[in-house]
Amino acid sequence: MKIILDKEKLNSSYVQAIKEMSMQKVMSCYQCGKCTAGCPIADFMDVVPNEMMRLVMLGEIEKLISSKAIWLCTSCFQCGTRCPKGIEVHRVFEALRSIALREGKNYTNIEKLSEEQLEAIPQQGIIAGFRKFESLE
Amino acid sequence: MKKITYYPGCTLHSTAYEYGDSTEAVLKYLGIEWQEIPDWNCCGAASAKSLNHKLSILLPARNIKNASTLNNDIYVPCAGCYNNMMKAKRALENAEERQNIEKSLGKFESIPEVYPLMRLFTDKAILEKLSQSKLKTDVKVASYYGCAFVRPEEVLQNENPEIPQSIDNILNAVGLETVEWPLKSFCCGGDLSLADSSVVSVLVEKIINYAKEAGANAIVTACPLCQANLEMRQKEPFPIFYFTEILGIAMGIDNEKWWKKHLVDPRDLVSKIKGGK
Repeated sequence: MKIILDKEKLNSSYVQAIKEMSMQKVMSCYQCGKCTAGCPIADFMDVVPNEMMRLVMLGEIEKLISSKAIWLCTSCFQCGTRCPKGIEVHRVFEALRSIALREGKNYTNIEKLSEEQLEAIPQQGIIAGFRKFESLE
Repeated sequence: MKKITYYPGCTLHSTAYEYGDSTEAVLKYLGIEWQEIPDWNCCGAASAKSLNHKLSILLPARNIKNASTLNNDIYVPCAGCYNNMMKAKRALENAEERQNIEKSLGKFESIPEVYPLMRLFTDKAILEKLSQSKLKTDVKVASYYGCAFVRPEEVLQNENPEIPQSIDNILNAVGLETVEWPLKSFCCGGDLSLADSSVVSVLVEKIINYAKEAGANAIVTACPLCQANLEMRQKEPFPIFYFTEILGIAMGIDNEKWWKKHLVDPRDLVSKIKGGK
């Protein structure tokens, strides 16, 4: 993948927003990969957690907002718990999701839930699913 | 008599009815008096924090404020609710953040302690009381905690995030053997069950295979979403219990209604746990 570094991209409003929303020192990531090693979903992601951290550092935010990975993250907090630099990586995922949602990349459609899902999945799962229900279509 | 404040969340009165009912039955048996938080609201699940950080703190903070009028510790059975409420409590412990919260919700007179429901039963006196009802069985189970009770670090109280022990201690007290296995706090897939169930199936298969390999006949959990995912996305029938249901069996107060709520019929195993063959 070819990435052209440019000053504006590195300090874009996107990067600022992610730093502010996640409240994490994203620049202190040194790419050890422990987040990806612990991530239960990494096998299914198009951008794995340590790659995501790197792309945030390089200002390549649009690639992340259109990725499948940000919606596959289950917020299990494993990445943040194992990070030796104390970065709560899951909060960076959360910030990316918030930005995507604010740009109208996702909305809830309760009508599309199947009867089986409504019967069997607990309320906390259904409410939590609202933020990413339609995003994978 | 011990008194507690209880936050059932939206699940324990509905889809996880058997968890709620078994919890209440066990509390009654042990002589613990509980009161629900007056006029409680949704904890915000995982969607509030995706939309607005402030909202995700204010929703559970309002519950804490309403609970403070009762002057007892809050016990939370659902992992997601506990996680959110604990984050709000941590925010309230910070003077600056507390001020911001009080701007929206008014002054907090006191801030009660917030514990996961398991913590109530690991209390020494209650653990002793539990060990008076002993199961006689060779059934073994794997205890499963999932994510939100043990991660991130800010919600942890007296538990190891990689090798949690509280459910094991409770089950061992009533004479049920628990196996050592590595996936105690592995993710079940959570709300991905709605968006991409094929991913959840892979995770659930992994969890159940590891539990079987460790010699378990069932998994015992404390989280309604873990329980639903483990039952719904598994391949061959493998019973998934709530730990309060096991306590109910040990005390002889289990109810046929609980087993009917399960997607995987656990009744054969229940009779084995009771000592049958």
